[in-house]
Amino acid sequence: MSKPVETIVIVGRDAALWLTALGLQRAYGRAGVEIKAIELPTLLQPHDVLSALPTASGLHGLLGIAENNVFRFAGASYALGQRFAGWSGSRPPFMHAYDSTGTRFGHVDFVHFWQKARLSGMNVPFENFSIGAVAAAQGRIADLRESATPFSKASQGFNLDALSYVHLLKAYALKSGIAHTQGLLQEVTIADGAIGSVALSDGSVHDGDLFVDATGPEAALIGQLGGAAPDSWDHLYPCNRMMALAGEPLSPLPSYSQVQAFRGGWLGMFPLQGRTALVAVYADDELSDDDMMETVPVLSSMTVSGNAVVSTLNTGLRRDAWVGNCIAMGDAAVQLEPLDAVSLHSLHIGLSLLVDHFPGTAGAMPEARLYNRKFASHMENIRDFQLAHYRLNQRYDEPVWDRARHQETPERLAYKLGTFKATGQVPDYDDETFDKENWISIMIGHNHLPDQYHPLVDGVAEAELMQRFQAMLNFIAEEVSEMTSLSAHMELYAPQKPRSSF
Amino acid sequence: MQKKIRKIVIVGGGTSGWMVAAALAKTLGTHHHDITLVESEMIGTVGVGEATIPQIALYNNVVGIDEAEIMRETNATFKLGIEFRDWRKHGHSYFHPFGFYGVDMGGISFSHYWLRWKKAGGNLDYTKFNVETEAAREEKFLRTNDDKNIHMPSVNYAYQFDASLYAKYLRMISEKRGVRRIEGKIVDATQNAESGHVESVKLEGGKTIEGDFFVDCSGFRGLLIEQVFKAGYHDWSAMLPVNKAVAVPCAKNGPPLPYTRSTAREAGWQWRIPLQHRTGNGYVFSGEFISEDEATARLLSSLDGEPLADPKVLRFTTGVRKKSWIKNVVSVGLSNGFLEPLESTSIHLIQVAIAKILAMFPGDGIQESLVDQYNEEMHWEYDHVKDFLIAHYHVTERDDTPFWNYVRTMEIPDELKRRLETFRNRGETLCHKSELFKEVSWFAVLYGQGLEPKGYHPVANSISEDDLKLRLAKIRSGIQDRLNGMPAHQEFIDHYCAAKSLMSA
Repeated sequence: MSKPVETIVIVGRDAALWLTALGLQRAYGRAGVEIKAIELPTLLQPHDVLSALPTASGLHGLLGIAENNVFRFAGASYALGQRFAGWSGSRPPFMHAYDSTGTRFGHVDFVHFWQKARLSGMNVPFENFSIGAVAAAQGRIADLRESATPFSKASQGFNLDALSYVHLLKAYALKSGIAHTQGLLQEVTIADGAIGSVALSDGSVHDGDLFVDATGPEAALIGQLGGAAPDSWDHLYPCNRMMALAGEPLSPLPSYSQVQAFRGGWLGMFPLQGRTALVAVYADDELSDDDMMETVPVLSSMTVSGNAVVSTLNTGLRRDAWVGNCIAMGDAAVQLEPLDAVSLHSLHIGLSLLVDHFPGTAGAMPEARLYNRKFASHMENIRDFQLAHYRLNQRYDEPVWDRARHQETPERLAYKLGTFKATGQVPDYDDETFDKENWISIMIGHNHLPDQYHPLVDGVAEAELMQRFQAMLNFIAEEVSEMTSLSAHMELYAPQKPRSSF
Repeated sequence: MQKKIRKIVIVGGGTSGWMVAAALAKTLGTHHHDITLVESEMIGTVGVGEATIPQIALYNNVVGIDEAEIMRETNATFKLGIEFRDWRKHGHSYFHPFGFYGVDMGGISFSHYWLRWKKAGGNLDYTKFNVETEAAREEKFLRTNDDKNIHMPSVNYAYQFDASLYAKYLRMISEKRGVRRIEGKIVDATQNAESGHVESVKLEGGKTIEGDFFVDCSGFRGLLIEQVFKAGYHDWSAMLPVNKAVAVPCAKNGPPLPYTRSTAREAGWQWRIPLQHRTGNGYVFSGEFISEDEATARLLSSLDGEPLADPKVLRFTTGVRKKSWIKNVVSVGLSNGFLEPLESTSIHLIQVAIAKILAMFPGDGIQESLVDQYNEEMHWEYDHVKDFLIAHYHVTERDDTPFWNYVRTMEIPDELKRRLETFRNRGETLCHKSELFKEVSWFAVLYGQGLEPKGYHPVANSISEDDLKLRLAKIRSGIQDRLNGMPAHQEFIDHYCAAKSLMSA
């Protein structure tokens, strides 16, 4: 009979290392499992930004990290959603807020009623019926009053300065009592399809029952275990380059991130304390790195400072994210585009799944099959949500965007988009990160409108419908005006510079 | 039996005379009362008071003056408060705003909650919780009087205007309402032999004007109240030692600021009051510490625009008449006292006097009990404004000139001592409800002058830390929202009340 898992060795760097270490320590350290973090040199650059969904609050809760500390020590700012600009020709930008839109009447989704009203001449944008979207446009944070909570579940994600966030995670992890070593990885010893130990360049050898590979794209541990090679998704995405830069801080501070499409790809603007993180994702067959450098200040209308950091952008999934006694976390397991604020999400999912499916014994670890299937399913859903933006773009006669529209579309995504177009209904899949309302928000936002609305909609008289809409808009305006502004919050929680005069 | 009051004579024009005339004409009317104002064009008006406090809107309202119109007529700008430069020490500046800091909660003022937050490490300045300070900083203005939005603070303001044009406008509406103006210089007054009441005043050239009730607006001289009745004067110059002012207008150097600036100088302070077409300046000083010539040179060398006239010197003694109302004479304005223009209270004290005169206006003769009441109340008003003014000088770190050494170390009234001590210990200002300057003003000035409270009111501990932060954030949000919607001061003036002379130019 096998013994239980007594020692976990986590080898890697940055957020993947510290989130996993802290998460496992909090979940299993108390049960007597020893957690050892082996820290490899960071791959982060000073301009790097992490853009996180509201679920990060849950993650922080799980890890025992006070949200105020995240805000104070990680240069953080709140984002209630993302604003997509320029994705569909000359149409105005839209806000994808982390919130529902409108209310259901009876059993029918709001979007059907909106669609009918639109067809009969109403020209109020869909997002105006979302507290989250209106609040984001007005620079609010998501502190809903009780009166708003039946209508809205507006919530906020974070934009984080990657380096300071990782410092914060590390501080928490070390304080939690894990063992910690720094070094360079020398050798991984494998026996019977499992890792026995890892050796560092200082000669130290670290045994463990379970290993976590948090080394990033090189997948230094799991790559040696003979699982299937990762699936590449590069053929699904139109871009292959990424550039990170720093821009000046915005004032007043918006409480959303902006994703601006341009001829060769898109530029993300992520407000932080003290700067705006800029991330460009582009195709090198359309413009060179130098061209991109010149384009960023124009697109962002910002003075750009510091050196640009350019990298190749690859996407893909390691379907065998758990092989033998080794689990890949972070970029070693999955690489996504920096779109839709999923920077921390794959880690969050991986960690939650591991905590849920923790190996019962240090032997065969049959939990891996379950874990791998679930993890892959989550990641594919996120990928499809990212791909939806590309497939639905309406920038014509631009090679990158024409390609983005016509590239291979995974079947489940094609079905989802097609079904919504035909019926206004959104098929529900398991393991979705983005709920129905998120899908509706971006599909409507990208002008992917249903051809018909639900027949029950005609049961509501037009006058009554308009009255309800008006009441909803008034209610939203009232609630949003009661919400705190991000800049006020920022002033109260973030360090202030002293003033010279009155 | 005393006779019914029918004939009212206002002795002297200027701001006070015409403010009295306009108010009496509007409220008492000229059907049953005969209102006469005697003034001489030979006697200049003082008219240093070009800045006001928000209460003036009440007066204008009572008299029926349209705000935009009076602002157009007087080249007026909006005033959100006063900036005090170099008062605490060189290079330091603070703002005394009209309006409020945050929102009072639990029966105590916001400042206590702010003090609690600050002691717990909060680093946001209290001035960020006042919309007027923030708007002044950004040189913005918006009239929010008709705005019902409760999420955002309203904007409190007064005016900076040309006081002589204000008096001219009041004269115009007073005459329209039937006030009779007589040109002439008063040389004598006759009293009833028995009652001692003034019965008439005699003009140069022999003309006599009879009256039942006289309002003495004759300026520092106090033609009736002092020269006839010898009311006596409480001389406060030991505690408010400034006794002269030299004033000069200069060309403006940019869009008018929505606030008055007071800059501390070696022997007093200098005002800067921006109007639509020019900037008013003056150096208020103590003749004991600097000569008129030196003060004038100092003023001229510190202007930020070309001087537009010759500097004019005024001399005064800070203080108040021992009695403001004697028999059938009541003194209003400078004839009743002068507290120096530091907090722009001159016009306000005129207004207070008018309100009280109207409230106690004699019908069938003068009631001595009411007269006593009036005198007591007026004295109380001056007395408390005086304490507030003294605090500006006394609470300071300045020790660089004999003047500042004097005011910093001088003996101050016991009541003020008590206030400063209480403020130092627990941030309370012991304000009376009816006092002109409320807790907010005392807080702004005392804190601004450098008196930092050690503690705060215990009630401020009654809410949880999270709740406190949330409330602070909400208050701050409201202020930011308000601020974001405010246009530049100049822009607001342009569409609301641009002076005619400037519009054609």
